[in-house]
Amino acid sequence: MKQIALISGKGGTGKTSVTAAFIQLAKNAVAVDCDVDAANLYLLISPRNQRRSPAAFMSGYDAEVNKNRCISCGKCVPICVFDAIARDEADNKVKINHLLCEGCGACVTICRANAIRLVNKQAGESYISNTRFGVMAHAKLRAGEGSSGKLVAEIRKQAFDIAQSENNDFIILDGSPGTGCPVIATLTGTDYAIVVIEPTVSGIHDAKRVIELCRHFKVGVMAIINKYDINPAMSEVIERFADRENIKVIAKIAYDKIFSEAMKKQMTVVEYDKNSAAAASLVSAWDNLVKSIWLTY
Amino acid sequence: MDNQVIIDRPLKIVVASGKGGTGKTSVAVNMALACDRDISLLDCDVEAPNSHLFFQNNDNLENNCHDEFFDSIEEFSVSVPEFNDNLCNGCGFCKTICKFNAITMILNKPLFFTELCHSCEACFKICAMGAITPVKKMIGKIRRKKINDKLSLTDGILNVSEAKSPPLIKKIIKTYAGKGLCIIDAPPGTSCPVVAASYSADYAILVTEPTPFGLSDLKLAVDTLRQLKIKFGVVINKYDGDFGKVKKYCEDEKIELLGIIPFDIKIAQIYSKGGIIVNELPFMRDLFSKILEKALSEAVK
Amino acid sequence: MKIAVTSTGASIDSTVDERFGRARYIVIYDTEGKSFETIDNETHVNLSQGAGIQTAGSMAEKKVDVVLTGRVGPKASEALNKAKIKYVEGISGTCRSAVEKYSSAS
Repeated sequence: MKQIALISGKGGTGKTSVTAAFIQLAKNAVAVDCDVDAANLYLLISPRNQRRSPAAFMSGYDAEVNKNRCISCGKCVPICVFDAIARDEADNKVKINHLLCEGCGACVTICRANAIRLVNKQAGESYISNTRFGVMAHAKLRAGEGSSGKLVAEIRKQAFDIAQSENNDFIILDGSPGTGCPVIATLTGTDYAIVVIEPTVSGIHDAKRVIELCRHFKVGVMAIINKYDINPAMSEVIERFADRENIKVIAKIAYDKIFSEAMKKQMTVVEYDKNSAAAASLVSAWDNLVKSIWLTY
Repeated sequence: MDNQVIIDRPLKIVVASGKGGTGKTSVAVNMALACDRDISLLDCDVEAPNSHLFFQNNDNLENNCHDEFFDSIEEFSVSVPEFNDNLCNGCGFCKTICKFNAITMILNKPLFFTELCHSCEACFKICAMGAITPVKKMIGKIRRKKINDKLSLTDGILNVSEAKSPPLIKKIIKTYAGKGLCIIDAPPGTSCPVVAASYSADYAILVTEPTPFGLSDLKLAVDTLRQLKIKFGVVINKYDGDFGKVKKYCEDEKIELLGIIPFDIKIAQIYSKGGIIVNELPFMRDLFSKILEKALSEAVK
Repeated sequence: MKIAVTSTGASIDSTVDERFGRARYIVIYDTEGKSFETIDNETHVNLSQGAGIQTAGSMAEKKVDVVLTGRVGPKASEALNKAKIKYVEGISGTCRSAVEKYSSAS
């Protein structure tokens, strides 16, 4: 079984559309949406019935103030390095901004009045669902939460257990933008990362950063150049760069409105029009990917 | 310019989106250039900072290090504990207090794992033996460039393989927002880096696109901003004649529509080479400056 | 010698828990006294992070010599090494058979 992650650095390069097509083409894959704070894969592969009830994702703590005990000394305000504690102008006591609180408990220690305690915090929910292409693991992080990496690790583990017990050939992971904690959690232990690059100065800049990240975590890298015809000269620059870095470009996909049309119909591009040029590019991308994986065995 | 909103206090406008690639950076950069105002532009998408690309010369795309473009660069560090075993009496209070479980006691001495540390500084403050001292851990850089008489750019760039960006984002905003108008280019998503970029803002401009992905992530961003109690309005980018359900959603939710930017292959091409829309398509200048003025008039209300 | 086995249940006849840091119980067998004690590891099972190193800390506190388990992560491994505790990975079956195999082999 191989784990394949689609990432990009920059957002909006077409990761999720490519991921959905790959899930369909793989025929025997467990899908994981690792973009837990702004998930979109569900819009293309429509998880329907749940295989198990949603599981609460508990992570860390939140500080809670008992206003009856607070003596308004204000000592907890400067101790908080996260700027999560402020004076409540209404009663001069303190209040916690839960979106900023990381649950470190420094305030609990300094509070002489025993007015602050830590409570366990639910940071999101995880789901295992059935789609028309097989099983999907996905999750929803609560707004503003900080433990996205851990939630990604959790749903990946569940996907891994399912893939092992049901003999799936692939786990296909839809990554999030950036290079931070959820992306690191997406790459850890993954076999291949497919970097979806658009031929823009931003696309190249950010792709180079995620490629560096993949090298750091020793994850194999391949590339897809999406919307290559928006700037053909820049696409050539990407190809030369990929060549130098020994990164195989498994597809060059032309800009095509079919991507947003398929999205509006909640379909993959290959389902929406299998005779389209875009579908042909995606099919050949998948074939190239599978061949490369087999060759590297 | 006519009808400029008067700003008499520091004002922070954050440009955010939920979904990536909707045009946050384009909106932030072009607004900053379209209006005749003194602006501090802060690129807080520190995992993928792109604003500078629209001001620098991109002829040499093989160049990986863009530091030479900037006037000044400073390293940014967070504090992590260092333990002096000679002073430590093995009481284990630091282990008890660390809610990130970054400290464990082995043979009566603390063993510390920096990857788990959130730099909350609680352990430094509680050690009665003075055995814990803060040391700096460099996690990224802050880079500054004066673009012209009116506009200064500050960005942050997080080291690759570093997981936690909020301390860097907060530092940029606290130090460089300035006393006048500040535009913050936020990271995508709705998790802690977005909160770090937005929580101190006076107003948020949410950039979306009229697709199901755009709408789904717009709803999440709206939810986040409402929890943060920040006023906001929406810009619909890449409008191609079909609003999908985005416009109706904004109407139903009574969200201010700040502007609509049409889809145009010329805009996409200008963007791709790092060009500035309001310079290459001067008729667009008015659109971007109106978006900003509308946001400012809402912000000062 | 004290042999610790990560366990899914409180008795020495329970099955080995393949996880180290998030093991439900840890059964410790003392070869000298031929006795065993059970540690309830529940406090570490639900930690948001750092379960492995904290469980390693408990092993050090109990003066364990060797840990038998399924898999030890890199951070927990560093902590066990620091505590001079050996560990063997890839263990399955019951805790009793794991202990018997290990003691007869060493």
